[in-house]
Amino acid sequence: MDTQRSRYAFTLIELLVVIAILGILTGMLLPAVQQIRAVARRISCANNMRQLGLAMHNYEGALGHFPPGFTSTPSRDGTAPSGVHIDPITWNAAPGWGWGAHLLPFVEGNNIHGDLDFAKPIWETKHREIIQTNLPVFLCPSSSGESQPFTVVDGDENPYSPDSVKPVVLGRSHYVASHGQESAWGPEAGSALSGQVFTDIYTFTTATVDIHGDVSRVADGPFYRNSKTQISEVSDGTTTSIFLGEHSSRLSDKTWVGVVPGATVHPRFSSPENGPDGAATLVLYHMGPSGGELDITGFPIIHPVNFPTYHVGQMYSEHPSGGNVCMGDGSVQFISESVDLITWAELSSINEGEVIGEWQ
Amino acid sequence: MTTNRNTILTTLVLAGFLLTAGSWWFNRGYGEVSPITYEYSKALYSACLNRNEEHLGKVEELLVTRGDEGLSVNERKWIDAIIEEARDGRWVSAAKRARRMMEDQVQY
Repeated sequence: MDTQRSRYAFTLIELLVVIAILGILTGMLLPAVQQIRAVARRISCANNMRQLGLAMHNYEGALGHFPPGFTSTPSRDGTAPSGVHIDPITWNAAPGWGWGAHLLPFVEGNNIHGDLDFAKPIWETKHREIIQTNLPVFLCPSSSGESQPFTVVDGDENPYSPDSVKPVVLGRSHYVASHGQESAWGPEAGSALSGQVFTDIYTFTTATVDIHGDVSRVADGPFYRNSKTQISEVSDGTTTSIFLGEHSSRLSDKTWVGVVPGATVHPRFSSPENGPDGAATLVLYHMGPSGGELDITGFPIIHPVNFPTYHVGQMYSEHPSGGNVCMGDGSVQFISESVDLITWAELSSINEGEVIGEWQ
Repeated sequence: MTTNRNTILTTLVLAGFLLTAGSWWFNRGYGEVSPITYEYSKALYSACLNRNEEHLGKVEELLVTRGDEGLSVNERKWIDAIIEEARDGRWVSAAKRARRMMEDQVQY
């Protein structure tokens, strides 16, 4: 009787062996499933970028130039016409509409675009609600950070609005436009009047440039304050010039709406290198080298996607081992985070005459 | 029978412990390093990504000039190990180590 019973029961060892085998099988299967899901998210993200790339070209076809990085009432001395809000440090001023807002009619955002007055500031009362809209085409499925609209903040991370009425809340974007190698979103864009730039990325030659509010003197990418880049200006070739990149909200908040003058962008996690940066990084990023950014040996710092300095003004993607970029021709490429730094810098500028060989 | 079962159980528990300990040992990282070590790791990461002998040489020069100023004994060993790996042509592995050192300073 006892023998009969024991024949139909599992021993502890048998049970443990079965659990161990199941554990091993699950352990083998899970990474494969995760990998497939990550690939699907990467493809979905690339699809968003492809739509944005196409929209950029449709915009260029319609208006003769690519959309501005963001619009700002021009100032060469830090003053603005009466009633126009201007940030005394960066000289960013109203209205502030970003490249994403300008692309709305070309990404099926006509209903939103029709409600926007591009001559008025983005924080104008009539815009307050509509600018909180989250649009799927600007959201990468891999981003693990916040996906809801976010409140704009000042340097102390307090909610901020230029008109001091009510904090501005903006719809989110996980995509940012390329300012090129150089950055100009701090005082150099305004009150500092000048900034240092790299004139040759191979010899690391620098020069001091008088900016006086005109950031086109330093920006070497397609998008910057009041940019109107024409396709003929992309002399390095549209296939070898990066136009858009990723920036996950895990690192910092970005928006499709535009720039709120006087706002600050803060990192969500800290590295010994990162900290708050200017409002232009709400819509723009740069890739380095940027004048003045040198490492301990005097070599310039070039930061490709996910470079572990984690500046709020760099590319940051949560796709495994790299990130998507949209090139000037509208194609989307996946770039490894261990890309050759000089190649990355060469891809960043649009008209510096760098010859780029095979890079993928 | 009981002795046999106990032996197997003990072996399983021991194997599990060894696996966990080994996994922890190989993934323990560098921990917090001094600001100067961070600067070295940043320069080394760039040099290794670019496979740039000149850049690597500059780091070595700096280590000679400054000596161990601001570096602990372990930090100096880690930096030397990265340089040695790069000098041996194992750029990818050296870059990974330098990146790991930078990553370990990030506070989420």
